[in-house]
Amino acid sequence: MFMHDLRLALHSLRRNPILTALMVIAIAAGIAASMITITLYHSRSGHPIWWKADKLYAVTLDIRDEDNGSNAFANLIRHPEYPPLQVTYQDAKTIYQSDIPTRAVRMFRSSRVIAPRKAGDKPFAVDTRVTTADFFAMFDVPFLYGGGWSRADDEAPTPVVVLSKYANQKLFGGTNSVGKTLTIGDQQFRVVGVIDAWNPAPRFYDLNGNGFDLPENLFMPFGWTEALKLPSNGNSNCVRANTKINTFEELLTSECVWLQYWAELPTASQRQRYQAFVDSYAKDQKRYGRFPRKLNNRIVDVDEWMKMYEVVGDETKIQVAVALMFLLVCVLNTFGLMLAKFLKAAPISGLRRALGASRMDVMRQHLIEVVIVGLLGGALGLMLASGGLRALAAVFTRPTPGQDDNPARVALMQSLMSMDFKMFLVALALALLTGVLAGLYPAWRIGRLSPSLFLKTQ
Amino acid sequence: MIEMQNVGKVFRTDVVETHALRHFNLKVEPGEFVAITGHSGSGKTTFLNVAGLLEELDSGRYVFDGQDVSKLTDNQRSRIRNEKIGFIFQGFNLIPDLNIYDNVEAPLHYRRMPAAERKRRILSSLERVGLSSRMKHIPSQLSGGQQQRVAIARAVAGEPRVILADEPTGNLDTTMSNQIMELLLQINGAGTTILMVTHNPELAQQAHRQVHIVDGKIDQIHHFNTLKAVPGVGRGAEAVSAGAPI
Amino acid sequence: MEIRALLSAMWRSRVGPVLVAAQVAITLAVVVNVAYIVQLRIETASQPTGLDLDNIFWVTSQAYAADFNGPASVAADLAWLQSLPGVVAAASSSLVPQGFGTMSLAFATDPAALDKGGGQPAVVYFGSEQLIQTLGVKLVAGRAFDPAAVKPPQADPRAALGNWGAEIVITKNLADKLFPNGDALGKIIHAGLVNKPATVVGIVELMQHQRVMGPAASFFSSIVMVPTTPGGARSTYLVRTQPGRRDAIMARVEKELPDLQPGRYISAMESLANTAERQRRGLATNAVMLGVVAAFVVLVTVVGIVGLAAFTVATRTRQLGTRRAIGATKFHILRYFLVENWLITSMGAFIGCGLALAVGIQLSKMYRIPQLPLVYIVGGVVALWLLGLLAVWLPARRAAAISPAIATRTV
Repeated sequence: MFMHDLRLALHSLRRNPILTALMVIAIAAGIAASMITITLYHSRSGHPIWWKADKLYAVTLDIRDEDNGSNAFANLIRHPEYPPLQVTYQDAKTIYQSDIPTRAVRMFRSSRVIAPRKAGDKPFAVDTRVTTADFFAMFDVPFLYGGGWSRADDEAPTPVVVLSKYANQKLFGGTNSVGKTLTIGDQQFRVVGVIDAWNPAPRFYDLNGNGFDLPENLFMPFGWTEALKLPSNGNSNCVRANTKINTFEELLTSECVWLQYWAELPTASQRQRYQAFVDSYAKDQKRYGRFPRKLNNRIVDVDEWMKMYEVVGDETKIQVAVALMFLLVCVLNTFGLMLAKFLKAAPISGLRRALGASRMDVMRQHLIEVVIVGLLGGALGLMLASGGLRALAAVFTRPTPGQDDNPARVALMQSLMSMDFKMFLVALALALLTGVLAGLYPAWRIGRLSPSLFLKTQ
Repeated sequence: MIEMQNVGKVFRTDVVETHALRHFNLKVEPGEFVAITGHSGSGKTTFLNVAGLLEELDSGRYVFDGQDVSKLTDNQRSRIRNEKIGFIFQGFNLIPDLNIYDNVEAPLHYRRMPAAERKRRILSSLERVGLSSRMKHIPSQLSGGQQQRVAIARAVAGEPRVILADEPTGNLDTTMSNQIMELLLQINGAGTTILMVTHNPELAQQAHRQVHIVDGKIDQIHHFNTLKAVPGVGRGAEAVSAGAPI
Repeated sequence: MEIRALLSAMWRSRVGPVLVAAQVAITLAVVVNVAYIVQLRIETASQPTGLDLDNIFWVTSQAYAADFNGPASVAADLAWLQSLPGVVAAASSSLVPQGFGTMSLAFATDPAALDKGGGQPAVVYFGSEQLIQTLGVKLVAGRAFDPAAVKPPQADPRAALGNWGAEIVITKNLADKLFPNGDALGKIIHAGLVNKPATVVGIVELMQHQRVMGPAASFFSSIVMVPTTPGGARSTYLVRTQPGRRDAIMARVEKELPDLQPGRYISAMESLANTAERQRRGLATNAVMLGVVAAFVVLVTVVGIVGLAAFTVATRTRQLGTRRAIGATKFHILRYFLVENWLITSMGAFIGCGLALAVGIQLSKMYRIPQLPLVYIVGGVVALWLLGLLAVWLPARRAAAISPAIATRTV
């Protein structure tokens, strides 16, 4: 029965090759555009550390001035309701003393230059994460060799560093470098660990700048901030009006936010206690004229954090919306063509009905036709989409000056612009859905027509 | 009214050349009711198409209502069809999407007629065929006979000089056929010339004349009834004929 | 014209027209808004920068030796760069225009406003003596930096903020915001955060730090240039050359600059035109993607209109023949189809206007751009009318060519 229907459907499609091609192309184009944009959206909105989704929390503190309506930068702020997304040095230092979180990190991005290890080598400028010890365990960073450092190393500070796989490749040819030393500035640092391939996308723990860049190549204990007067290489924002800074020391006690703060809070009770702790700290600070606003300290999970940073971006959202509108137009179009095609062939269906085919038989045969068109369109659309994504990836992986030759960067961009199995399923579902949306009514309508109508003359 | 001299019509395909009409001569007087008979493929529909200016003729001369129409442009022919000819088809050919009123109105639209005049004519012609009460119905809600009466109303609404009927009763049963024939005779009685293609000998006998076509030529002409004297019109049944009158 | 009859005929076979009208509505909403965004993009990407884009390059020197003397190196590097034949001017700068970084402060005529968090935000450039000449921006009032007023580089890069020069050059955009009467020259303005006053000694006609959409565009052309030489372990130099000599000089600088001082290397170098182009490309890629999809939307809708019209002609052959038989001219038939299509397009366009406006409002909120101008919607409707008529033309011609003799054919 099915084979018979299939044969009839294929025959019917072949009878109108141009119409069939038009329908297939319309669906393919709609699906290709949708899949390209949905893939970009999907890879941008992915959860880079989903297995700890209910454990990791970013901490934000609202230290801003009372809103007196005269903020110079008001026009440039999109979400005035959000607290500053980073914290000040002094606040980070104080709340770090809490023992409520299982783990906590305060950190920022900086930049260091590693001196050539032997004559003839080039110096190696590396983006550097200056962080407390829990970073590695908290974010499940995989190690190739060695490991991180301890909280005591932060305090001291001990001259130890952790290298990325790429930095280890560049500096030590990929061999186990644990125990070897590096000259950074006028200080010797000992390598204690080398990180294996680790490219969270987005780089959720610090979303300033390009959220889809690689993690840093060098990791250094937080204690070196003051000892080396390490500047932040990332975003820093002095959020209170009466802030005055002229020196590095003033920066440390200032109301400028430039650190990221994360806490690992595995249980609900820890979360509640921690919120209460942060709020009571803020209340306490009010006595010194700080935290003038109503309490608005937000402890947010990774998903919320990425939303606050608008990781997905309006561009991507608009592209998805336009692509889906396009798909809708394609569906409507195929709907019309399908209806026209079926009605044109209605006398044949009428004849089949008269010869004993049931309403369901006629509908099923037409539905199979619809599904074939949907699947053909879907397959063609998938091919177009993967070609389109490859072209996009080629555009976006062109090297730019000042950028290292880390192959992981290209791999990251490519992974952001390729369809995984889930996307393949989405495409399949989309193809069937468009086919069925476009063809269900026409098939139903043909099934419903009275056979006698078509056996009479006109 | 209609005068065809030596009219020829050929249909060509790559393979064959069919002479649908050849050396066709016919003269129809105003007020006459002429039945056209013939077997399938004899050329009677082609004759009707040529007579109704639906198709051009390939050779010969055709004078319609005193005007040589052999070489008119498409627009001029449309105009003559619209103003001087009423058509009645075997398949009724009502426009299925339009209601009865709109169907009758259709030809009137193509000439610039004031709305009030249009309405008067539609109502009176629907009255004439006895369907005033069905104005808002669409064709598929009517029986075949009713549909054909609407078609007649449409044909007479334009007050044509000639009505061309192509097997008007071909799709109808006997009772219905008789009703339709009745109507046509009435219309003819009021002075409108009628050419009717038919298979039905009984109907043909009710015309003034029966013209039998074989192979695109007039084979025989029968005179059944005499044309009543219409003022200004003489007895005009002596058609030029290729066949022998009986 | 039998409009009423036409409408009732359309109503009886409404599914097709409704489908096409829906396509037209969505198409209008998409095309109008995409056109607006793309237009804004193009405008943004082609914003004048005020800079001598084609003849400037930038180079960053990065030290790695612990004993590297930053301040001395900046002076020596600048002297060498300025001495090169073909170089018009060279300066050390804290920012690369059209680049990716930015630094901003609030400025006000009254320091009390700053304490309340008020003032006008502006991008701050620290630069050496020839900064204004190097950028190639045009002074409309006053003068460039006085060599005597330029602060030398500091060993501690953080100290740049404290090393605030007393004479500043600002862009006209900022001058107009701070001094609506147009008398900014010679006045003192105060900078937030660093708590420093400075006298406006020059006003630049136009300079755009970055090309962006929305309210930030005005912010990025509000610029304060401070005569404080930045640099040290890491220094970025802007170099302006005579036309046509840029690439040769870049090659020479890349080869010779590192050896001028031991213990450092060139960490990045690029022509400013390239830097700007990379920013522009980001805008363009998005605009192109949106534009391509929108073009496909139009194409598919046109195919839909042609398809519906062709189908209608095919199924109405007999009634079209009948209409011809009862006196319709070819023109009547052509007009019938054009009017029918025009009505469908108009219905779609009517709904589409509402849809387009709704989408437009949403977009203007998202991007914080001015609301979609109505002229885009009007233009979109007219364009769709024309496209619709064009699309229906061929099927309508085919309909008009149907022979009236069809009417007598028994099926």
